Amino acid sequence: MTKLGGKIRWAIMISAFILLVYGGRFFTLTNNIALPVFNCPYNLDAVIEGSCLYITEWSDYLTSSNILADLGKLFLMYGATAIGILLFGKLWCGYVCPFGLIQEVLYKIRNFFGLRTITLTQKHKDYLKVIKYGLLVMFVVGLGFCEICPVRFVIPPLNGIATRIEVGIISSILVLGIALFSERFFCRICPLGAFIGLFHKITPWRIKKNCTSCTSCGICYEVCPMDIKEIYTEREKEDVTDSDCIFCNKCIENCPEKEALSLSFGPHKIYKSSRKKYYKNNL
Amino acid sequence: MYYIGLDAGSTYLKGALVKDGKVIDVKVERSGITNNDNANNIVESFCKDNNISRNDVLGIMATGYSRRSLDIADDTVSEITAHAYGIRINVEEGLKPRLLIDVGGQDSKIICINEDGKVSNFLMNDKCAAGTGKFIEVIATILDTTLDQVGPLSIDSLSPCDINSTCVVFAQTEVISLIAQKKERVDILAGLHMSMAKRLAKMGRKHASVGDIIMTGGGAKNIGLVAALEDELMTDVFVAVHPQYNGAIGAAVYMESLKAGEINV
Amino acid sequence: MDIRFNKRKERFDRNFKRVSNKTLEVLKENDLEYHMGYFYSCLENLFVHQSLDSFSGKPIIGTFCAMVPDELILACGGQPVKLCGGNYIAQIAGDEKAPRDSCPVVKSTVGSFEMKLLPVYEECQLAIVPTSCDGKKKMAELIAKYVPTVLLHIPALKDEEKFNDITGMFYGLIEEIEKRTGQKLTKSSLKKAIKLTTSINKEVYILNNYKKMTPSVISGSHAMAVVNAYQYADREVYLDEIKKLNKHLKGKLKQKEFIKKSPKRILMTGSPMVFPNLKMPLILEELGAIVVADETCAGDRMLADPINYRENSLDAMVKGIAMKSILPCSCPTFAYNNDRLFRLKQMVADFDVDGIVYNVLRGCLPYDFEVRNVEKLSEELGIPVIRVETDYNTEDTEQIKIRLEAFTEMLRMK
Repeated sequence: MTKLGGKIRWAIMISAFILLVYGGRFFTLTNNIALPVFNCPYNLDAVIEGSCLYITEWSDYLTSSNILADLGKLFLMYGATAIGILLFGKLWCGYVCPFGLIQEVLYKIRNFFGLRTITLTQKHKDYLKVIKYGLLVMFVVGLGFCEICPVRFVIPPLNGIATRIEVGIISSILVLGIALFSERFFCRICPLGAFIGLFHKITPWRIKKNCTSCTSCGICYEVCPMDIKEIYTEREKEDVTDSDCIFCNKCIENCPEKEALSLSFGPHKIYKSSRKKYYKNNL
Repeated sequence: MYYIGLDAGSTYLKGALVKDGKVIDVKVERSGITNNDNANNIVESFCKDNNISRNDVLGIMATGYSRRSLDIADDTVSEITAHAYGIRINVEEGLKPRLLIDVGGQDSKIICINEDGKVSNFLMNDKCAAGTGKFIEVIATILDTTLDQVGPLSIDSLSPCDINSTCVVFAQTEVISLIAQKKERVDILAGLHMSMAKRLAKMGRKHASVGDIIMTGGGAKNIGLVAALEDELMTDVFVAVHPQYNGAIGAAVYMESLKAGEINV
Repeated sequence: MDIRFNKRKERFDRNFKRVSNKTLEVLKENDLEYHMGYFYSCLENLFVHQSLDSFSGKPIIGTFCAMVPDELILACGGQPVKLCGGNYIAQIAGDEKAPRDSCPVVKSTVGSFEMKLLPVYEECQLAIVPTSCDGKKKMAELIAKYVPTVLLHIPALKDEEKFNDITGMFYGLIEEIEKRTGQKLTKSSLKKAIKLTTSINKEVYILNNYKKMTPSVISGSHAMAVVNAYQYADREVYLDEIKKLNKHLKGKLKQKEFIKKSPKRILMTGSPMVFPNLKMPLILEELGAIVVADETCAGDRMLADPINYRENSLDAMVKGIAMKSILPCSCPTFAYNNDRLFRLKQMVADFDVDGIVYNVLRGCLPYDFEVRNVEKLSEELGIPVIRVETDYNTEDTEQIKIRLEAFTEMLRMK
């Protein structure tokens, strides 16, 4: 549904986008901070970079003796990433990642023109999972992911940084093209997301479900860009955080029942679904 | 501080006089168009026979089918609740009533009572005569005997007949054919009681396991029926001290509890 | 017309009106200035005066159960009307056509068609019957000779994966409706229809919030009549009127004009209670209880769940409608209907319920099957439940009263 639910999330996403992509134009830091989002470090201007490069090329960075001597820089690169992942988990995906914002804008453009979407079935999702974990391996082992990374040919050019045209531009066009018709398509195969998702059991931000007030209407599954079915089918457990979840909170926004779904930090429920909010958003 | 309970049944109007949780006196009159007069008679004779004045009676509670027609009553309560209250004092020492089987002239009830003496569940049969006193009355007439004799007669039977019909009217036909087959009266009566017991047990078997089972109502005075029910349920069935007055006693006890503030309504 | 048919019809009409009128009279007698004039008139116009005045004048499309979406009909310019029968006289009329053991809803629907007891049955252009219970499926065959009937296939198992196929079926339904109304469904008309029903859904939600309060400002049987009237009204006028009713109730709340002091609060669940068969809630209220929560398909459940769709396209909207018609529906004709127990549990908590009355219509096996599950649930929750079996006949009123009176006494003693 076209509505401005989640205004806070959009506000954070847009400010994060400006800060991450264009930050270099406003201020500089002695050392760049690396956060676990896809803000391509090839965007040389950026002061807050994506940790993607540092994770995939970790062998280069960590073995080089210069880095190990400069603990401060090490902390800003890897420490920030580690703390970021442990504190926020995949909240980065839904609230900060600039490539995520680009995909959501594309999807909204399609929605505005009323073009049809591509519906992916569970079978498709299973194939994509294979690709995701394949890319994760490639990413972590350092097999030159940056050559095929679609973000590399999108974010730096947006900031006016010239980028060599390589094979990877095909993947950019492909991914953006599909993302136009399938919400947040890249997030389904994103290796950085897969990496953070490995820690999804220990991160404090959770999606909680109250199975008694849930009426199994299926809306949460219907609007979920990652097609997470468990959030709809679960009838016993309270915690339904999935490793694929990017915390876009669309499920909570669209849930019509009182506190059936909520975003919580540890035991505290921060953003709860309710019928009142539902009517406000949809009428 | 006396309390009177009146049970306005379809055939009989029963009264009970209760004080401090003990039954003082019981009376019965036939029901009829003049139920109000009968009720007044009962109240007057309670006062006369027990040497108390009308003012000593602090409350009159009515229950039963035509309870709302008794002007002399201060309040009414349903029979189910009345029976549950009655059985608290209407049993022999040491019994803990948990299931009540009430067999009346025109209906039968199963009432489940929990540890606090309150009704936890109930079932009623008021749609079909089979399983009520009517059944016995009809067959007793055919066998040329009376209601109070069928019990002692049937208890000596060594080979009870099978009476299969579920309907009272068709059972009559079956009994007549049994007579024609020269079956003994005691055996036919025993079969009759077995058939009724099966009906009652079907209603109440699910709830029978939690404690003492007590029978009330006119049917409880029929030792043949009590025995048949014991055989069918395979457990002991006790009879209330005043089986026909349980409703009236209960109504009076309920009134006493209300006035003592033990119940919030 | 056959002379005997006319005489018979006179007799049936006369008694039909009396039965409907009786319920309305009781409601009006117990009315405590709820300002329900419009809703009474909706019911009265149709059931007593046999006129179509409260309707919009658009082609009448008949529906059944809670699974046939009104939105598709409204978007095609039709007037949706629920054809489930609730009148005892119609049940007698249907006794000859439907089997003796079938439920009274089926019998009275068939009887209403056979004897043309209401203009909605005569003027109905299309009857959409969902394949919910066996009775409905076979009833579709019986009424097919009076009105063009189309079956809407509702799967017995709720499987989200098959929803694209199911959406296809709803598209098929749209085609059938368009044929009868002569108006094509468009994206904007569907969006408008969904907005209308969601607004009504919101008002019913607000009405339910009033019922959740202790003490209450409106009685359950009247709220049920309001929700019943939805089926027999022009939906846009209904929306305005129910908004007014809610405003009025807000006023009553401010003035503290409550009903009795703390009567026991009852949740009614089970087989549908279609107007004028409001026997059970009226008896309960006569005995001093109040029906606060209603989990029956002819009552609140019809308007309990809102429709949502994932994006701004016709496909998404139709899929959203299909999903809402099936997935949250807690009808026992679905297999593994455990979701109903969750719904009941939530309602008991929300409405502060003291006891559950489980209504089973004679012949309604699916609801009867679930009695044990609800008994187990009620034990868990520590509140009593009573199963009452009845049909549209008023002969057993006394027997029901005896049982319900003992039940309400049981609640008061707790």
